[in-house]
Amino acid sequence: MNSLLGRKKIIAGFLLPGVIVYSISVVIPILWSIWYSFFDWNGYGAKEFCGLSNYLTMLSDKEMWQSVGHTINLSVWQVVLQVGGGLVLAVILSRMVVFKRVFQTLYYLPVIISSVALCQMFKKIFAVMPPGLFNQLLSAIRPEWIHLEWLTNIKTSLGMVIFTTGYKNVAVYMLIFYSALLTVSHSLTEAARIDGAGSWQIFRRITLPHLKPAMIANVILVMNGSLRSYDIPVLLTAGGPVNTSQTQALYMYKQAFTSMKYGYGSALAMFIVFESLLFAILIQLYSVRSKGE
Amino acid sequence: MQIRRKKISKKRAVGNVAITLISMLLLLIFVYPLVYTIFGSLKTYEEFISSPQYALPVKLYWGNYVKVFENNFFGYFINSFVIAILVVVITVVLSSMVAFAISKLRFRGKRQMELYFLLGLMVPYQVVLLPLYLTYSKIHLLNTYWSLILPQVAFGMPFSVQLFLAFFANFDNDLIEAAAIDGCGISKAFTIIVVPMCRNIIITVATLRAIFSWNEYIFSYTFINSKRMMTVVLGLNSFVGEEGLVDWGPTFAAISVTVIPTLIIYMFLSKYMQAGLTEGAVKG
Repeated sequence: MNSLLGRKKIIAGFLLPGVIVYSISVVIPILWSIWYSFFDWNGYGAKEFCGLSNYLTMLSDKEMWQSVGHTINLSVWQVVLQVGGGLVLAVILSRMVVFKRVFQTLYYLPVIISSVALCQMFKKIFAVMPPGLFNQLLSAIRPEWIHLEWLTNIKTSLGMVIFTTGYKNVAVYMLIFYSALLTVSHSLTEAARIDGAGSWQIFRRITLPHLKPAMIANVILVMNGSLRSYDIPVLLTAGGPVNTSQTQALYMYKQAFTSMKYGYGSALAMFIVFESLLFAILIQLYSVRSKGE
Repeated sequence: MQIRRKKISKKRAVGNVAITLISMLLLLIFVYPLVYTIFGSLKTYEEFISSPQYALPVKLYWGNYVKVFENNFFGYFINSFVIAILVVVITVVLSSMVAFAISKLRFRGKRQMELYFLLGLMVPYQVVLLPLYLTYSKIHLLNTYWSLILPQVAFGMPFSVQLFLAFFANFDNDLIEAAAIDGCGISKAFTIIVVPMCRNIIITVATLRAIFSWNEYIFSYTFINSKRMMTVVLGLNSFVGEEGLVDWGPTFAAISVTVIPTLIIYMFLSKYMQAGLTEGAVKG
């Protein structure tokens, strides 16, 4: 039996196709990106080795740090909107009396709509010329609000990207929290209630601690998605106006594909990877430490 | 005691009303934009100008859809369908085989192999874009189905392998061993015994991948520029750029058309999809 399950040909047959496809499209390109990041190269001329100079350029690249700032801003807000909002939605869902399943399914709709379709919808809903749905509704409160700009306003563009990203994804985290909520021990909460604990106390002392693993997993997932966010900023505002909603992934794309700075673009890409890893390590340390307490 | 119970039940009733109101409001927020879009797709240009945005269409006007399908949307649909189907089939086959090997076969380095596949969850797509773009342009793979299928499969594998691994962890080993000893061999045991029992997890992986592939933007935008090869999301974007700036009706019709296939899949298979998402996150 041992020999049958351990036969090399069979193992290779099962593993190799997957490993090859995955390696040539994910792992090897990463290694290439690292390699490119040490070159000054526009894709057509000769590659010139330039050591760390791409990374040094980054240090004084104002537009890059601005885009990093936007990305961190966006990511923190996504944790609030998606993890916080997801938790609130899950609690509401768990308190619902009827049609739970229907509500759960419908709340999830924005997740399955493509970013392209969603952004096209929001571009019309928040349009100014001609006034879109949102401004028409606002004008019922104050007529001059019909002229408010949302997507093309330097003060609100990043906010709109943040809102749209949160709106699109919050239901994913609602589902994860909801399925974790279903596993809260009923006898424990009943016992607490009999002992005179209020709903809020039960939530704080029993439910929240129970949700902690899901919470950590969700924060990692949300941060991981937000640090690389590209689709919604590019589709909703194209990073504008005047770069006010440009994320680091957008800036990287622009450098690599529009300005044809392949080396510098790769270095910027490595910076996104570095950030994601740093964050993953930090959260691991935090969760290990809090387990030890 | 009696009074207290009454008080509690009254409090509960108020709570129920509040929850119902909040849930309806949330429903409005999450569903209305799509409903508004679908209604908008049935309005004429004159209606957009003369009546408020939230007004219902006076009568159903299908001209916007005619415009959409005159604009090569059939072609975009075929492209997206072919790509999605191949992505789903290849991802399911490769991921289930890898997960089966890691979980049931005996070899050294299983844990490393699992971690190797987990790595992909951490990698931002942007990192591979440039190397893939350069390679594809060298081997003339740009503007082909494969330029999208390969990365979509590869980036779908980490999560799919995780889902299959979670499933195989509870899978009875005796069954496989018995079949293998009976002389049918591991490969045959896999196809005739294991795969049929994976039905639910296969549907889960397939729905998630199908919707991901249908909606995927960044690879498509980077690797495809010929109009003939465009997928539905690229077609939608270029259509809005060409026709939708002044007249909103065709834009809303195009959005509706691109969303409908995902809605249909979701309507029938949402249970499987949601199962996969919650499972994957808690495990991952």
